[in-house]
Amino acid sequence: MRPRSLLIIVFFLGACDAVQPENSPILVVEAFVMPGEPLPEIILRQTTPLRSPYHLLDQSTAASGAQVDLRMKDELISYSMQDLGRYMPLDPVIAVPGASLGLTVQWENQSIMAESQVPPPISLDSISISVSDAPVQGLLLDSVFIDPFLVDSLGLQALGAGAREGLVYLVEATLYWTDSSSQDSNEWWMRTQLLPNLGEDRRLSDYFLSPEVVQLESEIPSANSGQRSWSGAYAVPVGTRGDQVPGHELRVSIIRCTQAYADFISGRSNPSETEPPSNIVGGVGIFAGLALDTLTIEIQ
Amino acid sequence: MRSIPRGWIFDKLFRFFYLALVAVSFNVDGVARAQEISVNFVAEPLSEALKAFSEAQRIDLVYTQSRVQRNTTTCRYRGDDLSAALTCILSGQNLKAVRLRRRQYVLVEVEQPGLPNSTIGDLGTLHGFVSDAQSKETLPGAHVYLPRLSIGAATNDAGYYAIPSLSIGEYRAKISFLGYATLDTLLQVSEQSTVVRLNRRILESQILIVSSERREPYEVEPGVRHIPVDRISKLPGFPGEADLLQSLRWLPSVQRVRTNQGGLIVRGGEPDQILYLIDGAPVYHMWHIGGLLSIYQPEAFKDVRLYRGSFPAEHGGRLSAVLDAEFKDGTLDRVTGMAGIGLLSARVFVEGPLNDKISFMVSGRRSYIDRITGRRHPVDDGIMQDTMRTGIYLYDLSAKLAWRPSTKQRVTLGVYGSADILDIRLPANLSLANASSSLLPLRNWLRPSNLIFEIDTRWSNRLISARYHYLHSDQIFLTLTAYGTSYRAHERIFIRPTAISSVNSMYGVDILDVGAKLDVDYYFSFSHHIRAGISVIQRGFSSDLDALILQTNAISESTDERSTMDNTEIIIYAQDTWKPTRRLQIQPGVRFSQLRGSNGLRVSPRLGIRYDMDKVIVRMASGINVQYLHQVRDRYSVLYDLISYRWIPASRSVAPSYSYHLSFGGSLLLGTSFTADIDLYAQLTYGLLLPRNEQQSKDGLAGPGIEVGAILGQYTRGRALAHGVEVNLQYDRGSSIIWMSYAAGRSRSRAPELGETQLRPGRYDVPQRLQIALQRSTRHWMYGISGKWRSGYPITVPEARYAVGDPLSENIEGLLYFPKINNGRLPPHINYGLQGAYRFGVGAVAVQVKLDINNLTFRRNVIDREFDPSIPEHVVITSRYGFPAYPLLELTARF
Repeated sequence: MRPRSLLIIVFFLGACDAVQPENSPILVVEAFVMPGEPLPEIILRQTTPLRSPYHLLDQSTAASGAQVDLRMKDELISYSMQDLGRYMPLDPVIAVPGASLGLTVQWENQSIMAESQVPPPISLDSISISVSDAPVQGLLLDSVFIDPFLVDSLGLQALGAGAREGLVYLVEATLYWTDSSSQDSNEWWMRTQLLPNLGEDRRLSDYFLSPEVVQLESEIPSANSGQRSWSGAYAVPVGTRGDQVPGHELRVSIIRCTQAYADFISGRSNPSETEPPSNIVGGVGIFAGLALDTLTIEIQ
Repeated sequence: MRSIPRGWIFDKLFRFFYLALVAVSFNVDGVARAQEISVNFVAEPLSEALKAFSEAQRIDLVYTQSRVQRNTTTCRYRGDDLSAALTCILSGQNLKAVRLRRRQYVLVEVEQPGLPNSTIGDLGTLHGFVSDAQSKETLPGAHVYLPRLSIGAATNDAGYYAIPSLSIGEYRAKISFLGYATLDTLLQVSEQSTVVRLNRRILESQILIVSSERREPYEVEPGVRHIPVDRISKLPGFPGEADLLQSLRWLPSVQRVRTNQGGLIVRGGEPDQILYLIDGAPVYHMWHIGGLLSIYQPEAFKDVRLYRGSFPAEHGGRLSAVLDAEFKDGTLDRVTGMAGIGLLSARVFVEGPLNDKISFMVSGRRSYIDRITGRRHPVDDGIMQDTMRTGIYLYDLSAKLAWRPSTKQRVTLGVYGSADILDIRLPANLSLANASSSLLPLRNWLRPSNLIFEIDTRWSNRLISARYHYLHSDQIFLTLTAYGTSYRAHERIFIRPTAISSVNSMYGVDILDVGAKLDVDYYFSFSHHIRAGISVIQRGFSSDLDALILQTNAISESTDERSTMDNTEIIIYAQDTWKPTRRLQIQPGVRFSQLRGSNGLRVSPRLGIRYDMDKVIVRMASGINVQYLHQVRDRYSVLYDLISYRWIPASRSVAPSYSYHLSFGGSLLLGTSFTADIDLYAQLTYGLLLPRNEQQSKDGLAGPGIEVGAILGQYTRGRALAHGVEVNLQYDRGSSIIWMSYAAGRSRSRAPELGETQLRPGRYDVPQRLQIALQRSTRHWMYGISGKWRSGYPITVPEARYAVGDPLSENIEGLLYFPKINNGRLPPHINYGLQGAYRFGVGAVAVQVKLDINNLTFRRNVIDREFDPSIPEHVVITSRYGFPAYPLLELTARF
């Protein structure tokens, strides 16, 4: 075999691949349809290069001039742009629980579509809050998981867990709502969340407590007849054993949603390594029907 | 209309091509071009006539010189029949020509009624054993070569060889083996087995043992690579201690991959596609903590073979490769051994005779850092007392007994055990801010606490293998193997981040294999060596998880799951090593396997062809491999599969994976020092399990559980294509070694269920890899340099950024657009090294001090890269780097 032939074979077999940057922007959709409420605005953005600044909705990031149509059951609702990247229905229409949804967008040379469904409405029936009698010891750190792969490098930040002992009050909250099975035979997902406003001192990792969970509604324990309940906890750091629970606001939220939204929310936990799964065919983002109830409580 | 999958068409085409190839191969023998033969001898000395005829017709004639010396022949023949021409020449001689194979005949005595049978001219088998002259250790893979006939044979696993259909008499033979001086001797065809003993080649220093023997052409077999353990383990490598698997990376076929468990891949496959055998028994976990050391201590092994891609029918069960290693029997000469200590571990090896028929071998290795730092550290602040644990250690221990009751029998018993223990308990605040003036001793910055981080992870291999080798007759050799092997891993995690919150989990994985195997070598004729066998393997897999997550006194979640599987696999194989001509060797074979509970009988045909042109050898191998075991791992939870992997057997719901492999290659042998090998290969694999989300990070607490369905739900079926070229150049003059290996290839996969229509780079796709080592030895010194260059590993790179809001958040979260998996690549990895060793003697002990300096140029090789989209201005790209220069020291002593 001639050397030249060998070189060609080697080049063919071992040719390096390289990243082909995505030059044309991709359409990004954000829309949440809630039962019993007017059809929402649909926000259309576009992706930008990695090294470009990403301002939330300006000329560089908004997708202007798109043709947007939303279908609810058999009704077609056209949208028009009211502001940069913000599209509103031409006529006010109320979202019907259980209705199927379809979205089509034409923008520049892109055509995207998405489907979803409006879930039954949801409301918090009751909330139960309990706070530990006294502060307990707590390890304040971001994570104790030390990845051996990181230790292999000089990235010593992998070992710098920033651990320190402190005192925390543990606050439990139990949320009650009416089960969807009484209204609908579909299987819905639930996102439950406790969001305390603790300022910058909230150092205890969520790793051990669960102030937010996404799970199938049917897998959440039943409470009283026709009700479901979920309990979560969070920690409130204090300085000394004599300190009282610092007054703060707690926002509790429940969302009934489709699996697409549940997957999207669950997939956002590590945005530096993975992209949340999207239900937008031909684009990215989320178009989902969801029922939401939220309440803010003052904890004293 | 039902569509026919492309895979089905490919499968049929491949099988058709294969069968056609086999058919053509078998017909080679019958294809002979008619050529006119003209013989005219008048009272010609028979020996001269035979010589002239042999040269004119380019055939080999085998006969005893004394039988033809004083005879003459008169013959006239014209035609195209070789046999008829020979009959003419031998008329009146009481001799006849018996065809051995194409263009090769042996002259035998014609039996005459009324006369006693003469032994002159009868056919017999040249057979016997090849062993080490000092230790009496049998040498598998040694070659016995008869130059005059240009034929040879390799010894089997028991060191036995046989060349049937030779006329009774003496033959000049060259017996060679890697690392040994070639023996040029006379061998007698007789009923008794002869034992040929080879002497090791030893440099002047009497310390360093290396091979400088030229490889004989017949040592190169398609798909099979004998590993010169002595030589390759001296090439530099991390962690500076002799380790067989770490050394294998010097072969172009083998690549060391980045996992915290360690791992090798062969020809672009996956780590789980290599079958590791020790004395015929499989081993499931080959690496110690962090993948720094393997469980293979080189001193303990006498024969290591790497079967790549298309291996002979006797091996199977994996798609990429089989690493078949056999323990040393132990010397029958005298007790010898070695001891060594490196940065990570200390090791010892001893072998010797118990009597003139029984020998032993014992080797062990253990890390010693825990002996220096201690494993338990009392922590006391005057009020509370506790113990910090830092028990991190590993060990492996192997032993073998070999009993040779007679020349015809050999019984061995090998045992192996290894364990890794990672026992850490941190009952304290680790913040340096709380340290007093000095960091040492540890108690200065440790405080007892109710808050605990505790992990106790340990895994172990246990193996016992018994083998019985029996020479039933000079043409039939039996090997019976029975083994049991187990792998156990246990992961215990206890974390108490607050006084009333805790995570307590216990997870275990157990694998138990029990198997029996019978192999038969039948040296059927001069040109056919048939090997056949049957084996039965019973496998058991179990996992259990018992976890309690206590958030508060009122909120808890418990999991108690157990998963158990078992299966039986039956394997029957047969292969023929067929030498139709002096230069051509064809090795067809077929392997039938059936897994109870899986669908149907699997047929795996194999074919290897080698053509020997003395200085140049060309080879081809092809075959279908089937793998019944899938290695999977939970990709969500840190409570289980943190260290361990799960093996899930094929069943009716999970099909086995299978591959088609084809390779072409050649070897060039120049002089006694230079060898060049080049191989091209392609492998197409179906039925792989690929992660549904390649980017899923294992950082959650609770996961989907350990049930098989929950784990398999995280994977999808996929296909893979690997192809490439491998080049290996070796220049070895004993005191000087130049080793160069280069591999160029691609390894790509796709998962149709995920909508992937094109192949994408696999996890370990490395298009280019080059390694060079130069070493020179003198009586006391060894010094060398090395360089390793390879393409960076694939990574998934975002191609754009975007943001999406959330009804429960006022902030708009930045996200990255990852349209493709493994669409990018890290920068090339480059590592230069410097090695030096000084050898000296202390009495009868030979001591060596060796220093390896890795990454001599302080290059910051990028080992990972992260992308952070949380900053609006731009995506922050952060690289992680490997170690800069680091020295590795090892001290060894042989006695």
